[in-house]
Amino acid sequence: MWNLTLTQQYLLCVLNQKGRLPTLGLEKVVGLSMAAVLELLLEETVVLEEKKLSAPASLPQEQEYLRPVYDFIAKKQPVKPEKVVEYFSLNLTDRNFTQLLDGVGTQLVNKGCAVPKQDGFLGKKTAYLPARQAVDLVVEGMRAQLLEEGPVSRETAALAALLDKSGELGRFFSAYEKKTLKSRLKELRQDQTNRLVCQAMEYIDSLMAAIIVAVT
Amino acid sequence: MSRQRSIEAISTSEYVTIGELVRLTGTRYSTLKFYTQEGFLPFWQPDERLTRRYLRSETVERIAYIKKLRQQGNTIAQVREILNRQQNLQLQPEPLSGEG
Repeated sequence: MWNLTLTQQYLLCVLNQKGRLPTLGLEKVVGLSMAAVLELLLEETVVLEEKKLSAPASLPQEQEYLRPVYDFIAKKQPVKPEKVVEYFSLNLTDRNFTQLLDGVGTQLVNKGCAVPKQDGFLGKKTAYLPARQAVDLVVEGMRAQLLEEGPVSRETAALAALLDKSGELGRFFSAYEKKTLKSRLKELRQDQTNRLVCQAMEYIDSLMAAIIVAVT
Repeated sequence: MSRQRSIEAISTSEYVTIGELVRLTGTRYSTLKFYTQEGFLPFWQPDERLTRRYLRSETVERIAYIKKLRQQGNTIAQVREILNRQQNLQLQPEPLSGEG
Protein backbone atom coordinates (compact mmCIF):
# COMPACT_ATOMS: atom_id res chain seq x y z
CA MET A 1 0.00 0.00 0.00
CA TRP A 2 1.16 3.56 -0.67
CA ASN A 3 2.86 5.35 2.13
CA LEU A 4 2.43 9.00 1.25
CA THR A 5 3.68 12.08 3.04
CA LEU A 6 1.66 15.23 3.73
CA THR A 7 2.92 17.06 0.61
CA GLN A 8 2.37 14.04 -1.63
CA GLN A 9 -1.16 13.53 -0.27
CA TYR A 10 -1.98 17.20 -0.71
CA LEU A 11 -0.77 17.29 -4.33
CA LEU A 12 -2.67 14.12 -5.15
CA CYS A 13 -5.88 15.69 -3.84
CA VAL A 14 -5.57 19.01 -5.65
CA LEU A 15 -4.47 17.80 -9.09
CA ASN A 16 -7.29 17.93 -11.62
CA GLN A 17 -8.11 15.18 -14.10
CA LYS A 18 -5.58 16.60 -16.55
CA GLY A 19 -2.88 16.23 -13.94
CA ARG A 20 -2.42 19.96 -13.42
CA LEU A 21 -3.24 22.53 -10.81
CA PRO A 22 -6.07 24.74 -12.07
CA THR A 23 -4.82 27.92 -13.79
CA LEU A 24 -6.74 30.16 -11.41
CA GLY A 25 -5.96 28.06 -8.36
CA LEU A 26 -3.56 30.28 -6.44
CA GLU A 27 -4.76 28.77 -3.14
CA LYS A 28 -3.58 25.37 -4.33
CA VAL A 29 -0.19 26.71 -5.39
CA VAL A 30 0.19 28.39 -2.00
CA GLY A 31 -1.17 25.24 -0.35
CA LEU A 32 1.52 23.02 -1.90
CA SER A 33 4.31 25.32 -0.71
CA MET A 34 2.73 25.40 2.75
CA ALA A 35 2.40 21.62 2.79
CA ALA A 36 6.13 21.35 2.03
CA VAL A 37 7.04 23.73 4.88
CA LEU A 38 4.68 21.93 7.28
CA GLU A 39 6.07 18.53 6.35
CA LEU A 40 9.62 19.70 7.06
CA LEU A 41 8.37 21.12 10.38
CA LEU A 42 6.42 18.01 11.40
CA GLU A 43 9.42 15.80 10.63
CA GLU A 44 11.62 18.24 12.58
CA THR A 45 13.94 18.77 9.63
CA VAL A 46 13.38 22.49 10.12
CA VAL A 47 12.35 24.28 13.30
CA LEU A 48 10.19 27.29 14.00
CA GLU A 49 11.52 29.65 16.64
CA GLU A 50 10.24 33.14 17.27
CA LYS A 51 8.12 32.89 14.13
CA LYS A 52 11.12 32.16 11.94
CA LEU A 53 12.28 28.97 10.29
CA SER A 54 15.77 27.56 10.43
CA ALA A 55 17.33 24.30 9.32
CA PRO A 56 19.59 22.90 12.04
CA ALA A 57 19.53 19.34 10.71
CA SER A 58 20.53 18.03 7.31
CA LEU A 59 17.84 16.94 4.88
CA PRO A 60 17.09 13.22 5.25
CA GLN A 61 17.24 11.08 2.10
CA GLU A 62 13.50 10.33 2.23
CA GLN A 63 12.70 14.06 2.06
CA GLU A 64 15.06 14.74 -0.88
CA TYR A 65 12.08 15.78 -3.04
CA LEU A 66 11.67 18.80 -0.73
CA ARG A 67 15.27 19.87 -1.42
CA PRO A 68 14.32 23.22 -3.09
CA VAL A 69 12.33 24.31 0.00
CA TYR A 70 14.91 23.02 2.44
CA ASP A 71 17.79 24.72 0.57
CA PHE A 72 15.92 28.04 0.52
CA ILE A 73 15.34 27.87 4.29
CA ALA A 74 18.93 26.80 4.94
CA LYS A 75 20.26 29.66 2.81
CA LYS A 76 18.05 32.40 4.21
CA GLN A 77 17.72 31.21 7.81
CA PRO A 78 16.24 32.49 10.03
CA VAL A 79 13.41 33.19 7.59
CA LYS A 80 9.70 33.83 8.04
CA PRO A 81 7.44 31.03 6.73
CA GLU A 82 5.62 33.65 4.64
CA LYS A 83 8.83 34.39 2.75
CA VAL A 84 9.32 30.73 1.90
CA VAL A 85 5.76 30.33 0.68
CA GLU A 86 6.03 33.58 -1.25
CA TYR A 87 9.27 32.48 -2.95
CA PHE A 88 7.66 29.29 -4.23
CA SER A 89 4.17 30.55 -5.01
CA LEU A 90 4.21 34.23 -5.84
CA ASN A 91 7.04 34.77 -8.23
CA LEU A 92 7.14 36.45 -11.62
CA THR A 93 8.05 33.13 -13.18
CA ASP A 94 6.79 29.75 -12.05
CA ARG A 95 10.32 28.28 -12.08
CA ASN A 96 10.57 27.82 -8.30
CA PHE A 97 7.13 26.36 -8.01
CA THR A 98 7.67 24.01 -10.97
CA GLN A 99 10.82 22.73 -9.29
CA LEU A 100 8.83 21.89 -6.15
CA LEU A 101 5.90 20.46 -8.13
CA ASP A 102 8.16 18.22 -10.21
CA GLY A 103 9.95 16.95 -7.09
CA VAL A 104 6.70 15.94 -5.40
CA GLY A 105 5.11 14.78 -8.68
CA THR A 106 8.06 12.49 -9.45
CA GLN A 107 7.67 10.90 -6.03
CA LEU A 108 4.01 10.22 -6.81
CA VAL A 109 5.04 8.61 -10.10
CA ASN A 110 7.73 6.50 -8.39
CA LYS A 111 5.17 5.27 -5.86
CA GLY A 112 2.69 4.37 -8.60
CA CYS A 113 0.16 7.03 -7.55
CA ALA A 114 0.39 9.15 -10.71
CA VAL A 115 1.34 8.85 -14.37
CA PRO A 116 3.54 11.56 -15.97
CA LYS A 117 2.41 13.20 -19.19
CA GLN A 118 4.07 15.84 -21.38
CA ASP A 119 2.19 19.09 -21.02
CA GLY A 120 2.32 22.82 -21.66
CA PHE A 121 3.59 24.84 -24.60
CA LEU A 122 5.91 22.61 -26.71
CA GLY A 123 5.45 19.88 -24.13
CA LYS A 124 8.14 21.31 -21.87
CA LYS A 125 6.17 20.75 -18.68
CA THR A 126 5.03 17.59 -16.99
CA ALA A 127 1.50 16.87 -15.84
CA TYR A 128 0.88 14.18 -13.24
CA LEU A 129 -2.29 12.22 -13.81
CA PRO A 130 -3.46 11.07 -10.38
CA ALA A 131 -4.40 7.41 -9.85
CA ARG A 132 -8.00 7.30 -8.72
CA GLN A 133 -7.33 4.49 -6.22
CA ALA A 134 -4.57 6.47 -4.54
CA VAL A 135 -6.77 9.58 -4.21
CA ASP A 136 -9.56 7.40 -2.78
CA LEU A 137 -7.23 5.94 -0.19
CA VAL A 138 -6.08 9.39 0.97
CA VAL A 139 -9.67 10.62 1.23
CA GLU A 140 -10.89 7.46 2.97
CA GLY A 141 -8.00 7.78 5.41
CA MET A 142 -9.10 11.33 6.21
CA ARG A 143 -12.71 10.21 6.64
CA ALA A 144 -11.72 7.28 8.87
CA GLN A 145 -9.90 9.65 11.19
CA LEU A 146 -11.95 12.82 11.09
CA LEU A 147 -15.48 11.45 10.91
CA GLU A 148 -15.03 8.55 13.34
CA GLU A 149 -14.20 8.59 17.01
CA GLY A 150 -10.53 8.59 17.95
CA PRO A 151 -7.45 10.76 17.67
CA VAL A 152 -6.34 12.43 14.46
CA SER A 153 -2.72 12.33 13.33
CA ARG A 154 -0.87 15.61 12.89
CA GLU A 155 -0.47 14.97 9.16
CA THR A 156 -4.20 14.31 8.66
CA ALA A 157 -5.19 17.42 10.63
CA ALA A 158 -2.76 19.51 8.57
CA LEU A 159 -3.96 17.93 5.31
CA ALA A 160 -7.62 18.61 6.12
CA ALA A 161 -6.87 22.20 7.14
CA LEU A 162 -4.88 22.78 3.93
CA LEU A 163 -7.61 21.29 1.76
CA ASP A 164 -10.17 23.39 3.61
CA LYS A 165 -8.25 26.59 2.94
CA SER A 166 -7.71 25.59 -0.68
CA GLY A 167 -11.47 25.18 -1.11
CA GLU A 168 -11.06 21.49 -1.96
CA LEU A 169 -12.99 19.82 0.87
CA GLY A 170 -16.24 20.09 -1.08
CA ARG A 171 -14.84 17.74 -3.71
CA PHE A 172 -14.48 14.90 -1.24
CA PHE A 173 -17.06 15.50 1.50
CA SER A 174 -20.80 16.05 1.40
CA ALA A 175 -22.27 19.25 2.85
CA TYR A 176 -23.45 17.24 5.87
CA GLU A 177 -20.01 15.68 6.41
CA LYS A 178 -18.31 19.03 5.98
CA LYS A 179 -20.20 20.37 9.00
CA THR A 180 -18.92 17.49 11.17
CA LEU A 181 -15.47 17.89 9.70
CA LYS A 182 -15.30 21.62 10.33
CA SER A 183 -16.37 21.23 13.95
CA ARG A 184 -13.75 18.48 14.34
CA LEU A 185 -11.09 20.79 12.90
CA LYS A 186 -12.23 23.50 15.31
CA GLU A 187 -11.86 21.06 18.23
CA LEU A 188 -8.36 20.15 17.05
CA ARG A 189 -7.45 23.82 16.82
CA GLN A 190 -8.41 24.26 20.48
CA ASP A 191 -6.75 21.07 21.70
CA GLN A 192 -3.62 22.39 23.38
CA THR A 193 -2.32 18.87 24.08
CA ASN A 194 -1.19 18.69 20.48
CA ARG A 195 0.65 21.98 20.28
CA LEU A 196 2.26 21.41 16.90
CA VAL A 197 -1.05 20.64 15.17
CA CYS A 198 -2.61 23.80 16.68
CA GLN A 199 0.41 25.79 15.62
CA ALA A 200 0.34 24.28 12.14
CA MET A 201 -3.34 25.09 11.74
CA GLU A 202 -2.89 28.63 13.00
CA TYR A 203 -0.09 29.05 10.49
CA ILE A 204 -2.23 27.73 7.66
CA ASP A 205 -4.90 30.30 8.57
CA SER A 206 -2.63 33.28 8.90
CA LEU A 207 -0.37 32.46 5.95
CA MET A 208 -3.25 31.83 3.61
CA ALA A 209 -4.96 35.06 4.68
CA ALA A 210 -1.75 37.11 4.37
CA ILE A 211 -0.90 35.72 0.98
CA ILE A 212 -4.37 36.09 -0.48
CA VAL A 213 -4.43 39.73 0.72
CA ALA A 214 -0.98 40.31 -0.78
CA VAL A 215 -2.03 39.30 -4.28
CA THR A 216 -5.47 40.90 -4.37
CA MET B 1 -27.83 -6.47 -8.97
CA SER B 2 -28.88 -8.80 -6.14
CA ARG B 3 -31.55 -8.05 -3.55
CA GLN B 4 -30.49 -6.70 -0.17
CA ARG B 5 -30.43 -9.50 2.43
CA SER B 6 -32.41 -9.10 5.63
CA ILE B 7 -30.49 -8.27 8.80
CA GLU B 8 -31.52 -11.71 10.18
CA ALA B 9 -29.98 -13.43 7.17
CA ILE B 10 -26.81 -11.35 7.46
CA SER B 11 -26.50 -12.01 11.20
CA THR B 12 -26.35 -15.76 10.66
CA SER B 13 -24.35 -15.81 7.46
CA GLU B 14 -20.75 -17.09 7.50
CA TYR B 15 -19.55 -14.53 4.94
CA VAL B 16 -20.74 -10.94 4.49
CA THR B 17 -20.04 -8.08 2.09
CA ILE B 18 -18.62 -4.68 3.04
CA GLY B 19 -22.11 -3.13 2.72
CA GLU B 20 -23.46 -5.71 5.14
CA LEU B 21 -20.63 -4.96 7.55
CA VAL B 22 -21.76 -1.33 7.50
CA ARG B 23 -25.21 -2.48 8.65
CA LEU B 24 -23.84 -4.86 11.27
CA THR B 25 -21.32 -2.49 12.84
CA GLY B 26 -22.65 0.99 12.07
CA THR B 27 -19.25 1.95 10.69
CA ARG B 28 -18.96 4.13 7.60
CA TYR B 29 -18.45 2.37 4.26
CA SER B 30 -15.44 4.57 3.49
CA THR B 31 -13.87 3.68 6.85
CA LEU B 32 -14.29 -0.06 6.24
CA LYS B 33 -12.86 0.34 2.74
CA PHE B 34 -9.90 2.20 4.20
CA TYR B 35 -9.36 -0.50 6.86
CA THR B 36 -9.50 -3.15 4.12
CA GLN B 37 -6.96 -1.33 1.97
CA GLU B 38 -4.71 -0.88 4.97
CA GLY B 39 -4.86 -4.64 5.52
CA PHE B 40 -6.74 -4.41 8.85
CA LEU B 41 -9.66 -6.57 7.62
CA PRO B 42 -8.81 -9.82 5.84
CA PHE B 43 -11.21 -10.82 3.07
CA TRP B 44 -11.79 -13.58 0.55
CA GLN B 45 -12.10 -12.75 -3.15
CA PRO B 46 -11.80 -15.60 -5.65
CA ASP B 47 -11.58 -13.18 -8.59
CA GLU B 48 -10.83 -9.46 -8.81
CA ARG B 49 -14.18 -8.85 -10.51
CA LEU B 50 -16.11 -10.53 -7.71
CA THR B 51 -17.32 -9.00 -4.46
CA ARG B 52 -15.03 -9.22 -1.47
CA ARG B 53 -16.35 -11.51 1.27
CA TYR B 54 -15.48 -11.13 4.92
CA LEU B 55 -15.83 -13.78 7.63
CA ARG B 56 -18.70 -12.26 9.59
CA SER B 57 -17.98 -12.97 13.24
CA GLU B 58 -14.17 -12.50 13.04
CA THR B 59 -14.51 -9.26 11.06
CA VAL B 60 -17.21 -7.80 13.30
CA GLU B 61 -15.02 -8.59 16.31
CA ARG B 62 -12.00 -7.04 14.63
CA ILE B 63 -13.89 -3.85 13.77
CA ALA B 64 -15.06 -3.59 17.39
CA TYR B 65 -11.46 -4.10 18.50
CA ILE B 66 -10.18 -1.37 16.15
CA LYS B 67 -12.92 0.98 17.41
CA LYS B 68 -11.85 0.24 20.98
CA LEU B 69 -8.21 0.95 20.15
CA ARG B 70 -9.21 4.25 18.54
CA GLN B 71 -11.36 5.21 21.55
CA GLN B 72 -8.37 4.46 23.78
CA GLY B 73 -6.50 7.18 21.92
CA ASN B 74 -4.54 5.26 19.29
CA THR B 75 -3.94 6.86 15.91
CA ILE B 76 -4.35 4.83 12.71
CA ALA B 77 -0.56 4.35 12.57
CA GLN B 78 -0.57 3.01 16.14
CA VAL B 79 -3.50 0.68 15.35
CA ARG B 80 -1.50 -0.62 12.37
CA GLU B 81 1.50 -1.28 14.62
CA ILE B 82 -0.62 -3.11 17.22
CA LEU B 83 -2.33 -5.30 14.60
CA ASN B 84 1.00 -6.06 12.88
CA ARG B 85 2.58 -6.98 16.20
CA GLN B 86 -0.28 -9.34 16.98
CA GLN B 87 -0.07 -10.89 13.51
CA ASN B 88 3.70 -11.38 13.86
CA LEU B 89 3.20 -13.07 17.22
CA GLN B 90 0.67 -15.43 15.65
CA LEU B 91 3.06 -16.17 12.77
CA GLN B 92 6.00 -16.92 15.03
CA PRO B 93 6.90 -20.62 14.83
CA GLU B 94 6.21 -22.73 17.87
CA PRO B 95 9.44 -23.40 19.81
CA LEU B 96 10.80 -26.85 19.10
CA SER B 97 10.22 -29.39 21.85
CA GLY B 98 13.24 -29.82 24.09
CA GLU B 99 14.27 -26.19 23.54
CA GLY B 100 14.64 -23.65 26.21
